Amino acid sequence: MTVLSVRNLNIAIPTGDGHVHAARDVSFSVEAEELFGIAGESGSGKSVLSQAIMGLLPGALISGEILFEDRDLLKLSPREMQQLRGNRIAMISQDPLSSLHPFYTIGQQIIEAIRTHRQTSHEAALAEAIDILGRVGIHDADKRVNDYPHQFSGGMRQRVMIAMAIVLRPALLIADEPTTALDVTVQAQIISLLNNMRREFGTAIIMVTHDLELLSSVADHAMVMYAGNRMELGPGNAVLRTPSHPYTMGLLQSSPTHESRGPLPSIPGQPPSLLIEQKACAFAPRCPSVMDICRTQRPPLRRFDDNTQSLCWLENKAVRAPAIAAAAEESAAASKSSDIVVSVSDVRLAYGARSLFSKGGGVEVLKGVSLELPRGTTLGIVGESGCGKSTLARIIAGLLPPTSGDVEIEGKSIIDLDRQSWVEMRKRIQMVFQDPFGSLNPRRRVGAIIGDPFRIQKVAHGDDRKNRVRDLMELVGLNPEHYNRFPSEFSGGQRQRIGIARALALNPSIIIFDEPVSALDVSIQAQILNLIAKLQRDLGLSYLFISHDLAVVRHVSKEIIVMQGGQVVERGETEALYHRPQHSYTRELLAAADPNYRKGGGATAASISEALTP
Amino acid sequence: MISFIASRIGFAALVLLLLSGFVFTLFFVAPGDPARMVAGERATEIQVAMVRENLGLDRPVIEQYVSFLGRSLSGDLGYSYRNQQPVIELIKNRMPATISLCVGAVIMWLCMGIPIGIMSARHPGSLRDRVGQGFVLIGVSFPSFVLGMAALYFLYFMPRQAGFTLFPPGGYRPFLDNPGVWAWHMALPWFTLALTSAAIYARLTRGQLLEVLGEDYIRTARAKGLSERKVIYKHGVRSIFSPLTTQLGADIAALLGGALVTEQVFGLQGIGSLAVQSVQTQDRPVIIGVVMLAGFFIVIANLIVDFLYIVLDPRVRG
Repeated sequence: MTVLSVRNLNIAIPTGDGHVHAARDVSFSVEAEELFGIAGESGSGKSVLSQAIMGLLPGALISGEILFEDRDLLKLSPREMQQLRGNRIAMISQDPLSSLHPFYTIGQQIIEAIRTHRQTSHEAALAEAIDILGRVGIHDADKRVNDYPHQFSGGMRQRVMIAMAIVLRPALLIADEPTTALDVTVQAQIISLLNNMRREFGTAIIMVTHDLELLSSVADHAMVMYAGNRMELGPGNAVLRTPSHPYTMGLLQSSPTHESRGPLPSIPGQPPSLLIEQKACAFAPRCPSVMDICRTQRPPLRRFDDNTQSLCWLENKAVRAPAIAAAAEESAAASKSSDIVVSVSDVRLAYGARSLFSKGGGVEVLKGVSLELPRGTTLGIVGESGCGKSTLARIIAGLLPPTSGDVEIEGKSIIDLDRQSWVEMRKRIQMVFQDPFGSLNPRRRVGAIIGDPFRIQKVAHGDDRKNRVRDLMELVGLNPEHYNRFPSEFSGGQRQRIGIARALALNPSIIIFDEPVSALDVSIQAQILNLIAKLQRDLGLSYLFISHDLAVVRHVSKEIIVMQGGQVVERGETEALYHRPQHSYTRELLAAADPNYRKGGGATAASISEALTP
Repeated sequence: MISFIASRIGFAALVLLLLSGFVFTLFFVAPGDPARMVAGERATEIQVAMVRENLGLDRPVIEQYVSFLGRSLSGDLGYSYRNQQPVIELIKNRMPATISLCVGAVIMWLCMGIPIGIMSARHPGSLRDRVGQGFVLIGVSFPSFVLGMAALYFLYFMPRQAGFTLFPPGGYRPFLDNPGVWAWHMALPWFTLALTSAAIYARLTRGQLLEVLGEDYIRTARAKGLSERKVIYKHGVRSIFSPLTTQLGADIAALLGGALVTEQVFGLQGIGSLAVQSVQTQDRPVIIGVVMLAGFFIVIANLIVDFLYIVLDPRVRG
C-alpha cells in the first residue's frame, strides 16, 4: 500500500536575494512499512522537502502533489494539516539536544503530543507515555518520565524523540538526519531502534541523511538529491552499491571508507547556487563524464534494468573513476627519519569545581595520556565526544596547562615556558579547528586573517607580507585575488582552506587538526583530505589528526590511538589496528562505523550487525 | 540546591555589610563638621563640643561604626540633623508613596511591554510589528521628566481648561483610605515611570521570542500538531521568562533613580524626594538610612530573581 506519493513537486522559497529553488520536479512514493532514504549534501533540498511534507514551510511557493493516504496535503487547510501532524505524520529531527523543550519534563512533552490528538485522561496518557518510553529502551521509564531533557544523554534524548513521534502510531515518520549529532556507537543503536519500530508499528520511515553508508545498510528504496533535483531513485542496494548517476558514484567514492589509501577521487568544485534558474544539468560543471549536451539541455530520465532511474544524459551506468595511483609515494620521504617531534608523557588534567561558598570534587578529564609523534607522519586520535581528545590537543598546542605530566615539542618541554620561548614554540606548532564558520572572525578580510601570524610574530611587513599571504592562498588552492574578501563570501570547504593557510603561515613542523572535515559535505571533505595529504608530502609536516570518524582517520593516519574516558585504550599501526583490534571498545567503534567490518567482527560487532541487517 | 540558596543569602548579607561600611566611610571623609551643623550657625565652640559628645562623634571611628551597626540591626538609624526626627520614622512616612509608585510601575510596564513584544514577534515585518516598533522608538526616546510634564499638560491641565477633571495633578492618597482614589492619583506617575521600560521590555520580548521561535524545539512543537497559540504561548513565551527576569532584577535596582524624578514632577512625598532634601541639607543620618534602604531592596530583588531562576529553569536546579 502506498502511504505517500509525491508528484512533480516544485518548491521555491522567496528570500531577499530571489527565489531559492529547493526542489525541482521531484517525484517518489513510499510504501507502508518501508524505509525510504533521501540522500544528498547540504543545500540539496532534502530537508526542505521533508518540511514541505510536514506542512511546515510557511511562505514557500509549492506546486505539484503530495498525496498522503489519498489526500493531497497541499490542498488541506492549515487546521486539517495540524490534525495530521504528530498524529498521522510524525517527525524526528537532527539534533536531539535542542529538539526537546528544556523547561518541560519528557513526560509532559509526550503527554502533550497524545492529548493534542486524542481525548484521553491525563492518567491514561501518562501510562501510555511510560509504556512507549520502555519500548524505545528507556530503563525505569516510570521514574524517568518525570525527568527533564538535560538529564538524558544525546542518544537517550533521541530515543525520547522517537517515542514521542511514534506514540500515536503514525503512518509515516520523517527522520531528518536522526543520527548525525550522535556518536558512532549510539548511531547504530538508534538506527536499529527505528528499524524495529517500523516493523512493530507498521510505520513507513523517510530517512533524510548525507550518510550514504548508513542508508546502504537499511534503506529499501533510496533517492539521491542534488541542487533540488532528484538525480537518482531506485532500490537501496542498487542505488548505493551500483549507482547509475555520476554524482552518486562520486559521492560514494569520495567517502574514505573503501580500502584504498592515497588521494580520494573527489568531486571538484562547489554545489551550484539554488537561486539561479536551471536550464541544463545541475551537476554538469562538476561531472567527470560531462558531454556538450549536458551543459545546454535538461537531462532525460533513464530507467535501468535494476529498477533505478537516473536523471542523466549518459546512456549507461556511471563508471567507477580510475583509482589514482599515488598511494605508493606516500610518506616515502618522511619515514626515513624517525626522530620524535611531539612527545607527551603521562599528561593528566583535572578540573575542580570550586566557588566562594561551596567546594566540590574535581573532575579528571585526562588520566595519564602518553604518545609520540615521529617526524613527517600522521598520528590519528580517535574517540567519541567527551573522551578528552580535543582537550589533549589543546594541551599539546600549549593552549591549556596540564595538571601534571610533560609535553615536549622537538625535544623541548613546553610546560612553564617563559614568554619569549612560548612565542618561539608557537611558530612550530599550529592548529586547524573543526568549525570553519566559527573559527574565522567574520569582520576581518581573508588576507588579514591569514596574515595574522606574521603580524603577531612581527615578521614580513607590507608588500612582503601580502605576497607571502598570496603564496599561501595559492598553496592551499584558494584564488589569491580573493585576498580582500570576507569569510562569509566563502563556502565551508574554502574556509577550511583559509584555516589551513593560516596554520601554515609560519612554516610550522607540526599541525594539529581537530575534526577538520567533520563539518563539511562528503564531496568537499575529500578535497580537504587530499590537500592535507599533499601538504604533508610537499612540506614534510607532522600531523596530529583528531576525529570521531574512523574512516577519515584510517585514511590519513600511519598510526592510531583510541581514547576512551580520558585514557588511551589502544594504539597501533593503522591497518593492524583495523584488522586485529585488541580492545573491546575499538571493536565496538569499528563495528558501529564500518558495515564491511561487521562480517568478520568480534562478539560486540556481531550483535550490532545483527540488529542492523534488515 | 540548599547550599546554593544559603550561599546567595550569605552573599546578600555580605553586600549589605560592605555597603554600610562604604556609606559610613563616606560620612567621615566628606568635608564639613556634622556637630556644627546640628548645633547651628551661631553656636559657640563649647556648644559644638557638647553636641559632638552627645552624638558620640568624638569617639574612635571603628567604635562609632560598630555601635551604628548594632543600632541599625535593632531598627534605630539615628536622628535627622535637620529636624531631630528619628530617621526610621521619616522613612516609614515616605515608604507608601514610593512603594506604590514602583510596584505599580513595574506591573504596568510588564503588562504593556510583554504583550506588545509578543505581538511583534508573532508577525515580524507586519503592520502590527511596525506599530509595536514605533511604540518602542517613542517610548525609549522620551526622558521621564518630559513625559511627566506632557502627561500633566494633556491629561490634567487641558481637560481642566475644558472644565472637567480627568486626572489629579499629583499628591498621594493612602491605599487603605480608598483604593480607587489611590489608583486614580497614581495613574499618571505610573504611566510616566513605566513607559520607557515598557518600550525596552517590548523590544527585549520581541528579540528573545523571535530567537526562541527559531529553535528546534519549537519546530518539534509544531510537528506534534499543536495549535499556533499553544506553540507561541506554551512553548515560546515560556522560554523567555528567564532572560526577562534577569533584566527585571537589574531594572528594579535602577528604579529608585527614575522614581525620584517622577516623585518630583507629581509632588509625591516619597523616598526620592526625601533623598534629594537630605543631600541638599547634608543630613547625613537620613542619607545613610535611605542608601541602606535602597541597598536592602536591591539585594532582596536580586535574591528573588535568583530564586525565580531556580523555579523557572530546571537546568539550574541541576
